[in-house]
Amino acid sequence: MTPLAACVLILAAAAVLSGGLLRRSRAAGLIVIAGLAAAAGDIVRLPPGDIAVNVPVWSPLLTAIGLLGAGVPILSALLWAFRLAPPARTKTGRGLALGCGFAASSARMQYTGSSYPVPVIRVFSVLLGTNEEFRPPKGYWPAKAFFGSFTPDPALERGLPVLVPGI
Amino acid sequence: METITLVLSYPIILLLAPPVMLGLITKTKALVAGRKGPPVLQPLYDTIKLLGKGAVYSSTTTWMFKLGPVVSLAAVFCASALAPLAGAPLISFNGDAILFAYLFALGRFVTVMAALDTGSSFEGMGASREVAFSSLAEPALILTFASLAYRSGGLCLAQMFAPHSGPSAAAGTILVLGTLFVVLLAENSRIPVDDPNTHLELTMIHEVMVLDHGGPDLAFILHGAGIKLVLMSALLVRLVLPEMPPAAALGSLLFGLGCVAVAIGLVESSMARVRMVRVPQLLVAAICAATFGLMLTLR
Repeated sequence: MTPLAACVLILAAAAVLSGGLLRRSRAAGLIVIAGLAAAAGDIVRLPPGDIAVNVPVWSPLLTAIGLLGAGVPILSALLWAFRLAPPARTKTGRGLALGCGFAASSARMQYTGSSYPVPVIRVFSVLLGTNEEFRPPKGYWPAKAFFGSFTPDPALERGLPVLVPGI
Repeated sequence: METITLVLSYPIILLLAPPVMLGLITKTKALVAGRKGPPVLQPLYDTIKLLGKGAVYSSTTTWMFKLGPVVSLAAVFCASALAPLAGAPLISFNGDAILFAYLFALGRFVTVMAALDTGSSFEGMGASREVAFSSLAEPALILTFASLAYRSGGLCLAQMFAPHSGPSAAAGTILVLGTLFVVLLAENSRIPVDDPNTHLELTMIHEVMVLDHGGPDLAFILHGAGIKLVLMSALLVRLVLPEMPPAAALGSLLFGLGCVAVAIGLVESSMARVRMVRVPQLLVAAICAATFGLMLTLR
């Protein structure tokens, strides 16, 4: 058994143990986790040399990348399965998103493509040349205000006209 | 013996070290402030309690919100297979340092997507800040890896963080250590970049993104964050550890992790977090230090 396989098995055992301690009612989910982890450990146990007999183009590098590439979705699926087995007497419900007391959020209040990267754009404002237009609210009962920002495309709108005049 | 140490080191480091390290940070802060503080194992008790709870999901969320915590934890689990801890890593190949950095980025990406999925403007704000600051922490980390790769002549983490000696490396190593410590504080949302205990929305960065998670999801997020802290601290400790047998290396690593936790606790006790507009300056300073470290190594 390789160290990796042993680690996978120990982690699976820990998952089963913690599941038992927490009195998870749907033990089937945990058995699936343990089974999949053991299967993963068994696959990992194959040294690259053995596989190379059957698949001539196989390489240790591809094995490593393949293991990790498969690792994230497989582990995610295991954790998802773990979450699907809730302990007895607990409930999963639906509620409002946290809004610090303001729950009437609308699409106009969401982050947009230009507002989301503002912290980064501020840092690199010298390089990016973002234009901002801000008309703040005026008076005690302001009727309207305006804020708009536009970041020109560094290649198409700033670089290309310099390189190819008249474009 | 080496195999036994290797087999023992991963479960200890993946399951026990994260809550103990977080507990040590809290304990240090409490002791410095003259309080008794919660038990060192309190984060472990919290995680176990959260795993046994139900959850409430916002009615605006979709499957993306549920995917965030599981993928972020799976990504740090996979990153741990690449990290050299007490001995050689489980998986190692040329260029694994890039994959290591970007597995963390994958975890952050799904957390950000889950935060944006809630539609809450607070969580969007946190996601925007998190991405902005991590985009500045990333060059510092990659420059540090470049410096270590040149010094060791290897492109995998196991070679980069192997014990190294030599007078020419000393100055570069100090800069690399300093940069890694700043990146560690920034990536793990610690003071002076972020305060993990704050619940004032306008100043929150990472914590505001996970406000809507509860129960097992929050347990996954907290444990994943703990593993990330442990892995980055382990890299820091590996840089100063000399060559030693595997069992001693595991003991020294665990002691070193404790020292890093105390150091983080002391930093958090001795200073306030910097103003939000100053955080980019701190991270740009880290990038400059990493660049100087690289120049000293290339010299």
